[in-house]
Amino acid sequence: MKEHKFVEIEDFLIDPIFQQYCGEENDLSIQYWENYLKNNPHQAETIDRAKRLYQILSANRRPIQKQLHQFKQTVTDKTTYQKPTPIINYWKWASIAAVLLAVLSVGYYFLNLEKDGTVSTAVVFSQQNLSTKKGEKKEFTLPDGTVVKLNAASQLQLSEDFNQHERRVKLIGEGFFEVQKDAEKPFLVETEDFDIKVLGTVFNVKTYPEASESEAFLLEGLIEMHSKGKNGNAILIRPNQRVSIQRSSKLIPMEEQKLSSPKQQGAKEIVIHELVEDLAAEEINDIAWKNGRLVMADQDFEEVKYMLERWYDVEIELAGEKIKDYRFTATFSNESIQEALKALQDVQPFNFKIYGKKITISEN
Amino acid sequence: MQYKLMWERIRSGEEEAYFDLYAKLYPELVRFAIKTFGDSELANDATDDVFLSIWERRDHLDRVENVPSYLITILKRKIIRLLERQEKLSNAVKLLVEQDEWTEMPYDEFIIRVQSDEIVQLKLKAALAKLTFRQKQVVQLKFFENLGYEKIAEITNMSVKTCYNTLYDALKIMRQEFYDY
Repeated sequence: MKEHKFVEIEDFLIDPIFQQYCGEENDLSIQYWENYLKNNPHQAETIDRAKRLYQILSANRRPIQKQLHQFKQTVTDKTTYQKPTPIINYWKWASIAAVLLAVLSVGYYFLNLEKDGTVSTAVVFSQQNLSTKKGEKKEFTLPDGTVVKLNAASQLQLSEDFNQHERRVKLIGEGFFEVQKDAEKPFLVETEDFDIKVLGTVFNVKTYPEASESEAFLLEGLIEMHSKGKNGNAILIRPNQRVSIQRSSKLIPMEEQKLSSPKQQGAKEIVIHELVEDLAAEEINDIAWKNGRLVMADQDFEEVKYMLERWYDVEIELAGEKIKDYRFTATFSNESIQEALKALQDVQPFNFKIYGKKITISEN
Repeated sequence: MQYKLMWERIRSGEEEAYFDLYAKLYPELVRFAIKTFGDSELANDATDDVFLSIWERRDHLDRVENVPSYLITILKRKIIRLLERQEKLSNAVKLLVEQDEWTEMPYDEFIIRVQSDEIVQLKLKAALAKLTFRQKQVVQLKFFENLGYEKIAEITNMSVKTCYNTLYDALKIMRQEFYDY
């Protein structure tokens, strides 16, 4: 679904998050649009009309939480009401349900094995630490049917009770997730910089420790992202948006943050990039690796160095300050490290020497 | 599956499960009532009555295989009782109801009936008359049934993109009818 501008009533009403806002279905949608309204006061009348039309077309449906609240009142008023007798442990029931669901899903992921030329596939049965070495990419099917493709030098750790009440994983590195839909058990990705909560969607998370920022990129669905920085921001990511978190802002101590303008610090911490291109027309760089290609988009030599190291399983030394400012845009798929470096030499002048797995790059 | 567990917990007197079931099934039940009688007040009262009677009888409830359809059966009884009390039940309708023939009204009929504002009713009637069958269907599934685009695509056998575009065109027509004079 293409990102569109919000001008007319229909532009608002067509938007799934706006619909959730009108139906008061979740706090983040409400937050998002209240915030939008604050920043765009001139659209208040249009938004009001859109909400009114939503009410009319939904037969004046009341948000279920309000409906429930009122019903509880009725129950207390109408019936000879007694406090319930001993409560059976909720978790007992929930765990019975979880076991049943787990049994059902076993059959499912056996059917779901797909081989894809560039990536090896493995099925994960229980709590495990999954990882890839440098130069290696792997695809895993998790117990809930979710498919994760791990890029080179990455780690994914499943929580001990994965798929019982929730599906929690920890990620270091880069992973492409196709999350199996299960509204009862949220899928949570923890990274060093942020947590992601998702119900069923396709997205990419990049969080290599040596990179200067970590990123989440969403292809389908809707995810909530909670920053672990001092601000504790939570935001919604829509399709075709990429969110990056700058690592540097984490280093600013709390006191200093309070002294300087806190709003500006917050804005620095999380940046949302709108991607305007139609997804079908153009492949997004961030997920090109999953199809066996390494893509650099105007990245400096430091970043390129880390990418090449992970991709080709080599160690690279950059000798010289000047070359660190070089920037590259390139795509590689089956090239050897030698061919790749030669191609980069056409863009910027530098020398390189390869000794087995060690490579030295110096100024020309 | 989840309803069966909730039902068992309600049978053992768990209040929390009872309100959970209400939150989960209220929308579906009230929609059924609106679609069959086009009266949102009646629909609300009847649906609440269903849940109130469950709590009153929680110690004597039977095991139930299909909770939603069991509740729909009770709902039908509650609707008839409310209509009888209001003397709104015509003989023709009575006959249908006795034969368990509950016909749903088309969206453009019940959605106009439930509006309390007469001007809104007129505008809505004019706007809906300009929509195609498909457009009306997608508006109903999105805003009344509260379904996601993927589900709507599945039901209508169209692509998600087509559903989205169909709804967009419908909303544009409605906006023009409602606000552009």
